[in-house]
Amino acid sequence: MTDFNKLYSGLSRVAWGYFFTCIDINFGTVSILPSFVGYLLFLSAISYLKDEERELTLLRTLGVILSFWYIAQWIASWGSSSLDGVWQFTDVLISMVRLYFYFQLLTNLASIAAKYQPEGYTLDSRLLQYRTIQTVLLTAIIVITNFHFWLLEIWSVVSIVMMIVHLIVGICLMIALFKLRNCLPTNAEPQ
Amino acid sequence: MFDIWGFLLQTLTASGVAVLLLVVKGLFKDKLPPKWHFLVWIALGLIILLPAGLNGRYTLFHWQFVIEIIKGWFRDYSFTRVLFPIPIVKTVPKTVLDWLFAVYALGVVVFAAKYIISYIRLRLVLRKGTRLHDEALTRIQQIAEENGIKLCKAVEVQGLHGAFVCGVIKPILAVPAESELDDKIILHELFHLKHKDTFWSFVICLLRCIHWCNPLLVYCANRAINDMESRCDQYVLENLEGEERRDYGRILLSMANDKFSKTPGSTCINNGGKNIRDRIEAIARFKKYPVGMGLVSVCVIIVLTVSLGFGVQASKVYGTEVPVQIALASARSTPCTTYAGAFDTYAKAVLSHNVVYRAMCAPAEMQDEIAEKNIYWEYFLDRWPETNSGYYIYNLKHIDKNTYEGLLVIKVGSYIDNKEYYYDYEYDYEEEDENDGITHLAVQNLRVQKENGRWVAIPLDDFRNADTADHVLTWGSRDLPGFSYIGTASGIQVEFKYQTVHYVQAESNFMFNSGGFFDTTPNPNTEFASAQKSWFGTCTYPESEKNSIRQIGLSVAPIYSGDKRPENLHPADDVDDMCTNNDEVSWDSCFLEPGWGPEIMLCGGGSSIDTMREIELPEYCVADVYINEKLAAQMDLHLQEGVVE
Repeated sequence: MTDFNKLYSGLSRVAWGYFFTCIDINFGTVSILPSFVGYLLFLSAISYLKDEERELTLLRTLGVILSFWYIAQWIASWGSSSLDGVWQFTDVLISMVRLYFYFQLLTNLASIAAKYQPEGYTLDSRLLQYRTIQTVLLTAIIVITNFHFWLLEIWSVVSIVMMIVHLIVGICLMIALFKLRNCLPTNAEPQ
Repeated sequence: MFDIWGFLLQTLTASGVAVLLLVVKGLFKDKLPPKWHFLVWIALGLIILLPAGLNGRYTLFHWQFVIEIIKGWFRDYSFTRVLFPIPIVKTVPKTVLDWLFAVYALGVVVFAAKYIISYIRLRLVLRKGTRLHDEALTRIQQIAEENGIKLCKAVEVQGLHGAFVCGVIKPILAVPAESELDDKIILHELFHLKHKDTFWSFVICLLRCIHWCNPLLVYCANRAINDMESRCDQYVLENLEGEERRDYGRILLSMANDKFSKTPGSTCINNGGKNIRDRIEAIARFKKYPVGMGLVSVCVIIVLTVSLGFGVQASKVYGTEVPVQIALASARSTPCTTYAGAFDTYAKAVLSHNVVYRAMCAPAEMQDEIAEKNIYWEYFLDRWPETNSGYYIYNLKHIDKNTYEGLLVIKVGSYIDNKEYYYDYEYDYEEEDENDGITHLAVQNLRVQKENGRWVAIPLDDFRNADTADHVLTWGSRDLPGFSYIGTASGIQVEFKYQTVHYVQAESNFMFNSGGFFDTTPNPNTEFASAQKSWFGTCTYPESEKNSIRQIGLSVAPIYSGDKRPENLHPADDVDDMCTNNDEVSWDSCFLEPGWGPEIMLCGGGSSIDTMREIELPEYCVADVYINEKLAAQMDLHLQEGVVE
């Protein structure tokens, strides 16, 4: 039997996780909405949602890697430094892990949406659509970043455009996830 | 690869990528389909085929730095460069290292020969086979048709343990003559045929030959072959149900045999007993992956291949915080990849008197001297450089595709009293001379040229001192050399001095640039941030005419290649009218004070130039000279050879 309270909590955590990973507000060089909080929320959401989607457990290891990476990033930011670009090995590894993590997470959330959304709702296909856009966008960002040296003149424009599109997709995802959470039966409200 | 260092650089670069791939494959073992696990090896194949260290870039780790340190122990200060990913022995081996490289190259030949012989043996075996007919052929054709595969020539051969496809251009499907093969095995081989796996098998064998002495890469080659088999296993399993899938695993186990398992240009389902275990494990993990999985699989491969293929531009060098030989090794492994980068690195080597920076942009023939003399590099400046004023490159000239010349200009302060203490000396601006508004400069003609794929800086003369009343040098200076255009008519000589000024970072200014800091860290990959062109006109009039002239005016226009000479220049008969228009026509006029000299400095101007475009000098200039408010002479001014003082 579906435990709607667990489902509600799980979806809330994923939605708030997106909030932390997509929106970044800095105080000096230190983020006051650190990304690692988002990944920790994703990890705890996996515990809540694994009964619905067993494949979500595949993401645990990757979630732990990403959490550690972003904790290290956040600590480094206290010293006004960044781990990005320090070691290409970790840069490439984290890029791939992040790409897969979001893809699989959204695929499983779309599957949950298909099961629990009320009739007439298309949250599952919207989530799948956002998943595809986000995967292509993340890939494009990484590929374009590699061309950075050849795009110096227009780099500021390119990076602002990429940032805005990334933010819009993130906000759309958050809205869809909160909507999905609110679709759950009313007795799903946490006690 | 022409020496052992080149091979070491290539194989270490590939090893780093191999480690990353093994980690990634481990992480995604149960997450991404076998097709991805095979295709991801493309990234390693690409790195093996791309020359390591191409254009100063490295992949994952800066192996070239490590290699330069090791080379330093052998007193070898040459640049390590890989042009081809295969070994080429150019000279008769003389040293131990030469012999090592020769042995490695011989190994490549031996392994290649071994694989060729193995392939020939296989083809000979196939020759003894007979073409499949009737029922057996119909059965295979039916399997092929059901799966949309175009069947190639099929033969049955005595003594074979299993089926395989052989040949890249005209593949042949071989099946054992004595026993009837299961449809699943035929299907597996047909999938090899469909995906042109004999070609991939050939490529993997080739790469295995080149890196035969690197166990990690040989292991990866074996893994790649196994992943190719697992991919076909997956396709077969997707076509099977329940008990048939378990059957497939049992058949694989029964076929464990190493014969012909690593023959290039062939695919053997029984690719070695050890590998069968991994494949059985993969079969046990079998699941049908959702349709969308293809997208993330492709995206992950794109991210991996692009990131590794582009690599990282080497740009950081060590300074005095590490032993000088290590710092010099970092300099040799960080080449200047742009001509502006070479100018920048040389200028900053002078400004901060840093031998490591000089090594970055020094030609190969200078490296031995720098490494032996290390910190005591002498550049003959007799005044302290004003580091925070930066530097300028005047009159940048494009000699040919691989050569540029320019005049390095730096501001200098007080004289250096004792050069022996130079290296421990902190420059104190308060010690600067009282200079009465004069800016002291040190200038040096410099050539940067491409040498073995890296830009190097070669001074054409020693530094010499120059003084100017100009404090801002970004818009040129009459006191510095330029391209000179000279013309004479009616006893009047007009000189039009044309200068270009390039710089990477503008001179720091305490008012507009917080802290007045000029970054002296070289940027070997930079482009010039800004450039200006300036021009100055000068009239010289015969002394004998001195008393008859009270006013003189000059109007000058540069004529670029393809432009027509303007019929009329702007008149220069009004002393209140001095300007430069958008067509770079300048005009100026002045009353002469009593006792004026034969040289009268008149109009000047300037504009910004696009640093990304080649500098174009005027083909010639035209000038109108006005005496006492009347047009006195019209002339063409022609470029004098070289840069004129």
